[in-house]
Amino acid sequence: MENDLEIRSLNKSFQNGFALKDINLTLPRGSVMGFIGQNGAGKTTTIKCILNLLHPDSGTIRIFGKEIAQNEIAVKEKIGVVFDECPLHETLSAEKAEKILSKIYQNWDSSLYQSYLKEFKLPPKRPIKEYSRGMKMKLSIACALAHHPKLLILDEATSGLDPVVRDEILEIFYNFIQDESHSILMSSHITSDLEKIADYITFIHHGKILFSSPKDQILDSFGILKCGKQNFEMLDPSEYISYRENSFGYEILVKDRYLSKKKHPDMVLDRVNLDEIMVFFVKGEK
Amino acid sequence: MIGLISKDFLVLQKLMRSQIPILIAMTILLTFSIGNSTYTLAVVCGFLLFSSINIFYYDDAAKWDSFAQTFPIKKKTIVKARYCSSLLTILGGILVVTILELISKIFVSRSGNGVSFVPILCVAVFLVCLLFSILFPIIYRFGPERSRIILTAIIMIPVLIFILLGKSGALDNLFASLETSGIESMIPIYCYLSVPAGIVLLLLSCLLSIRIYNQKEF
Repeated sequence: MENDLEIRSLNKSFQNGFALKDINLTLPRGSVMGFIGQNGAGKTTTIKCILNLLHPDSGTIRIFGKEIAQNEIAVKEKIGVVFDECPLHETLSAEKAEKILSKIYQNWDSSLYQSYLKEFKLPPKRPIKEYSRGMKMKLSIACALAHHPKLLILDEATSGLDPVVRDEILEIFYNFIQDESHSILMSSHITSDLEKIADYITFIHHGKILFSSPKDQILDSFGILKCGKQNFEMLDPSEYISYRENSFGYEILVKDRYLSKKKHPDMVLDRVNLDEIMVFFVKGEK
Repeated sequence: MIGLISKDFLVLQKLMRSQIPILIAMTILLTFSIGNSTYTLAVVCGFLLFSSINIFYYDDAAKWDSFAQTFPIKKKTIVKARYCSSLLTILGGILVVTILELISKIFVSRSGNGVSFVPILCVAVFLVCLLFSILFPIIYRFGPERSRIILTAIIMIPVLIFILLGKSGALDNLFASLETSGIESMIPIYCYLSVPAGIVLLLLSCLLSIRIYNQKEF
């Protein structure tokens, strides 16, 4: 299987002490990768390194099998990027944005752009400053999709949007990946969206990748074991990632819930979602 | 590059629409009150400077630069486009001022001692090119917000020096020595040479800005 994005041993440090350390990430063609982590964990920094907005200290980044630094124009022609805020000037309109972007992208498809504006109900002549946040985001997405990209990179594109708009946007992304030659790298705090659409999940914390695996495998293998203090003290530490103590006892994030179920049939073992995995990794004790 | 140049003009469209009527009104006022529309040049120069620098602020506010890095264009193209749109703005300014001058000549009779329009226009173009050549690399290096103080100093310090020299009488001595040296007769030549000199300065400034921009992170 070909990979649309490969990051190997990426390192990037800053004067404030923050650093990306040995980032390795692979996005297979035709798949959606959810990129999760706390605020300040390094998601946007990693995405900026991918897009050559930041210069890595070391490591390689290949997009469509080519190193972006040496093949920037050819690679970026096939990438669509959506940031958390609409980067178009507020005095511009959707119509004027097309006048700009159609001269920049060789593969700009005007009829496709117009069809997105109609589908998203975006008035083409109205200034962007009069758009709502959801409309601005839809415009950003229309701009990102109208030049037929192969890879879509989304940095918190659904943050601050209401559930209805988020659902509409997810539907657009879902349609985008129906073509198996398209891929999406999507950073988001809204893990419920990623659970719906992602094939892979990569979790970054303090600049390090803690895991990068298929979503179904993550949700199937991790589990939350609930027990009292006595049972907790009997557990093998290698069996779990972390634990949290509360007034009812202990909640333990285990790596392999099937194995844990076999070993501790009398203990309560629940399925887990991405939110809980994140919280346990970040705030749990070891 | 054409897309980026058209972006600059599309963003400035609203500003230009409000400024041009003011320009025309000021020309009419100055022409009929002083009998000379050459002072309009100063207004146009100020407008060119104001609008070209404002573009940087508008881009910064929209976080356009980060978005532009995702385009299939090289960083140097982004810088070149900015210089090209500034040059086009200067050309537009020359056109506007020339038209206003021609119109004012029809309606206002001039005394014979008036300063010739073309040499002054050339000097004005040179000054605008000089200021762009200095200001743009500073903005690329420090960003629009941090370069505000530097830009103010660059514009105000020569003005203050000029005023102080004027008050001390040093300028009177300079002008007197220019008169006696015969250099006065060569002033028109220097004026006409100032336009290519300004363009050369812009080219050098562009190369410096490209170097700065290539190393920039977003």
